[in-house]
Amino acid sequence: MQITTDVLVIGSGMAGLTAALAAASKGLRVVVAANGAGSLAISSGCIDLLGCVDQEVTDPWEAMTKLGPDHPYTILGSARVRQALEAFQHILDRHKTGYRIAKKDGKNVNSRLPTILGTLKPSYLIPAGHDSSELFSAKQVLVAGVEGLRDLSPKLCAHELGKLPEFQATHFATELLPSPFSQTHRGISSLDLARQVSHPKGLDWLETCLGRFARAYDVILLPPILGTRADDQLVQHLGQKLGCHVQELLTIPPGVGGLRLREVLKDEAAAHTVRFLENVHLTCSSCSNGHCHYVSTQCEEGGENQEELRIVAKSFVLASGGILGGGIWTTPYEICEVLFQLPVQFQPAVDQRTSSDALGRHPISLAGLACDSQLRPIDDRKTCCLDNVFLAGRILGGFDPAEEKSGFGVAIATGWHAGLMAAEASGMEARA
Amino acid sequence: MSIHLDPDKCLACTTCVVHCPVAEATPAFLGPRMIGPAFERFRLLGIVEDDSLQYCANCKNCEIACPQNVPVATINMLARLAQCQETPPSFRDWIVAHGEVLARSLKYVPAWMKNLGTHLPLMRALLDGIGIHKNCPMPQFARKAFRDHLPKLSQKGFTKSVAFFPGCYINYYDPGTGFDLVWLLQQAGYRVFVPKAFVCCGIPLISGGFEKDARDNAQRNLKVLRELQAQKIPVISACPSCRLMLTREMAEFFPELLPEQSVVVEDAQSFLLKCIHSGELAIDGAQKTTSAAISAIYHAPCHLRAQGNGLPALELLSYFPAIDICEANAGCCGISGSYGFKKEKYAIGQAVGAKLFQRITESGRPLVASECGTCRLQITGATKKPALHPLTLLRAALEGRQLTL
Repeated sequence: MQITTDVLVIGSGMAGLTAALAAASKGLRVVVAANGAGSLAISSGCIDLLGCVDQEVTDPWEAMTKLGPDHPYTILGSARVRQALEAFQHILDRHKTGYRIAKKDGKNVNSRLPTILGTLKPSYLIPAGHDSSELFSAKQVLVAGVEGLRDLSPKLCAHELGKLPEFQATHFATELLPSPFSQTHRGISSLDLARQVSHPKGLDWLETCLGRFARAYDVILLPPILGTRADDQLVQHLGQKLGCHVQELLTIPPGVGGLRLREVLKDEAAAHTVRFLENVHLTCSSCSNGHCHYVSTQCEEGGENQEELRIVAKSFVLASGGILGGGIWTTPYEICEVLFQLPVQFQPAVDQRTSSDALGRHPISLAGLACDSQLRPIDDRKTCCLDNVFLAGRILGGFDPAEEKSGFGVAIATGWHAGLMAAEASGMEARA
Repeated sequence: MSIHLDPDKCLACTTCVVHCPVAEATPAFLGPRMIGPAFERFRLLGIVEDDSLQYCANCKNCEIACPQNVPVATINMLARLAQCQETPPSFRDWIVAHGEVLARSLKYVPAWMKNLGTHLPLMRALLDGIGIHKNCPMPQFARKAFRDHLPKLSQKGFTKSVAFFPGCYINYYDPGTGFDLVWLLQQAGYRVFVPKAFVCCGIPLISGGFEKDARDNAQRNLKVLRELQAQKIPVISACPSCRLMLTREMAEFFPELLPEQSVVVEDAQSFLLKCIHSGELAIDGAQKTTSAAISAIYHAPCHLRAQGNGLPALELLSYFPAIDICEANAGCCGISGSYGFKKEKYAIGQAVGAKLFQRITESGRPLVASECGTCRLQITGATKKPALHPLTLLRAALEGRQLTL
């Protein structure tokens, strides 16, 4: 089958969804083709912009000026990054998600969010449930876990938080709430509890459990179990009921918050009639003279094994992910881009891909595609390879999201910009 | 069953868990990651099967979501086939898996009499007693099965032929869709025939745990499909689940039957699109209509989404200004073949479909379109809105007539 569209976005993670929304906001026909659902839905939903440059930073915008010339933020320029973040936040606001950014001296700054391990992690645009503004001035904090939820040990979390210099004047108490599942044959996850709490019966359970701590603490820290909807209603409701601030901890996947966020973005995309094609294994592209015409699930003309799905578009956003997401493929000998065979830059030799410090910097994290200021792929002579293909998210090289805490920030900044560039290229092609 | 698929591509990232509609509806299900690739390692060690395997609906949303292409649902179904060899499935499971065998044995019983059984409270109580939920929507037998009726249709003067795999649903319950397809293909210059030896695709047999029966059916269908392939006669299906089974799953469950390449069965909508592109199917007249006479909301069946072949029905219908169609985009309907019929799964099925039902109701559209027969049954049962196959809408647009709902 052959289908035709204005803009084709490849990938439906954070970068792909953002790109689709940007292109659709220009009134174009947008198709998203994805293999897998990306990792947005298993994340915390917190949007890290830039948390560390050599060391933890408070003001990500100021820190952005210290990044190298190959970093996607440097290539875009902070003004464009800001525009993208604002556009994204605007969408979140329209859906009444209650996402917020901490302020310090009138400037937007990072928040420091507590994790289930009792560490603090910097993040930027955060859901209402993760609002950390009360935590650092709190005298009495309760860390509440749930029986059967093995991911969170309240004692460990409280013990580790208590060791941090920020909390030397804070008293941490711990509690294990009884499980709402009468008999479980397995360990439960935060997501199970969040789904339970999104029903009246489950909310009753939580209110009853926490009721006896009402007004006894300044802040109650919980795993992310406050429902499955991306709004601040439950946080507000519980806060009022218990007379204290209720805050969710960052946890391991499934992180619940990402699922809440993805639902909002999918609903927004549906309102723009973005069409989603799932489980699509694109393997081939047809390009000539530095221009892409179509991508396809089948390489040979008239191949007999399966029906071909061919997607013809005026412009393309490649947001197929990095090594984990499947956009980039590695062997001991090479690192390559899967669909267009674009040149991968920042390729460390196999014996230099990783460092001995497991939590430190690994050169392979920087591997990815290089791009020009329009986010089009370039080769090592800085020549644009394809004039209607725009790159977004983890497929780009030159940044290390794990170390910098910048994954979703780069995904949104490059996704939004790539979407706008693809929309423009699509319009230009239509006029030509 | 001695086939085990490699579970080691699974990174335990939990993407399938968050996208699994059954895990969302009930905490009793261990979830696709745990019962699929994770438990597979225990199975390889010979550890006894986990009871919650029964909750997997084989809707394939885990596989659709998986970034690493792990065949999670297929791992589950292979485990179920193995489990059912140890412990034979129940009488109820036999019934819901063997719809074709039942329908054949009741061939000479008039349709009204068969359908009475799905209406009479006493019959429903009896069915409920064996485990078919008293409130679940039941398909109604057509007065005459599609395959019995088709040979009587005049099909003279066509130079090209196409073989149609009707599947059980169109054949016994929804022959109208089958005849709409025949009409459309005839417009494109094709004679349509159903090879006598075609049997149920086997997907309900797999879900029910009946390995031998599923294999027998696969062997029979493969024999016909290979003959047709040798004669270069295209084969098409209008049921996403049948097509999923024939083109993908047969090779996964019975690799020994398909040592060489898999067989080609084309999606009816894709085939018609090709007919439009090649000029075989003229649509000029219908394209001139400007006013939308048909307003519908489209539900993409999970087994269609799993094929990774796009949404051909939406592509096809978008050619016709007379059809104003929007997409529901609200996930699984909850029926999963026969899953939602089962007494102990009925509530789960309804909870899974709740978002879709709500979106359909809120859309205000008078009509639902979807390729899958049981999806339509479930949707109409819950929303009371008529649900038709996209091919029926297409025929109405080409004929320039209103649909009688």
